[in-house]
Amino acid sequence: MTSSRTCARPEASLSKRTLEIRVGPAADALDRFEAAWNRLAEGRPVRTLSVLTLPALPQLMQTLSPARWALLEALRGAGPLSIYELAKRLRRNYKNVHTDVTQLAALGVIARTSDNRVLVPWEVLRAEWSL
Amino acid sequence: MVLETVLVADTVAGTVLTVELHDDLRYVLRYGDLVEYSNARRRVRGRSTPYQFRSVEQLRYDFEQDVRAAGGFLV
Repeated sequence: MTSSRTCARPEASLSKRTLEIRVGPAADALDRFEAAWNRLAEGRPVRTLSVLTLPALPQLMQTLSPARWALLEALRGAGPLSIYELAKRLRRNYKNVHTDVTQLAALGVIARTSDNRVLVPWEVLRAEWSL
Repeated sequence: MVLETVLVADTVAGTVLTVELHDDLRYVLRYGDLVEYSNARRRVRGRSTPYQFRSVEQLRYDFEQDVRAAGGFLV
């Protein structure tokens, strides 16, 4: 059985820049790598895929806590911001925002620009996990 | 292009596994700062050596072996 939660209407998300968030083991990512390699080597198309895999549901909830979700929404709405500007908009402590941004950037949810600002490069975050 | 970022379970520091594959078969397999395989280069604990690609199965096997040998953990 699969549960999924999408932050945009599914039909609207098909052509949008989407980060798929999954719960599962690291080996799954290597399985997909092998499968995609074999398809490409045979000349078959591979759909563009960006995935963040987390080991269990608690890590998913921690990664996308309500405060971090608010951060992502604010950043997506505003476009590239410095962490200082972002913290000011969110009315949150700079250090805590810095920690959240650093961790979300390490996981590829947030990207950094060459002028040291941060942005959300995704239009849709789609979370899915199996029971 | 396939890009996967994986937070590896049971690692204290929250190690990140990165898997990247481009349409022209350029690839990156990276386990934190410990191990990286990238287009005929292999780097383990900062030491870089050439890597002779044989097959994708062999590539995965070699990568996983190096991660384990370097003290990493893949489940």
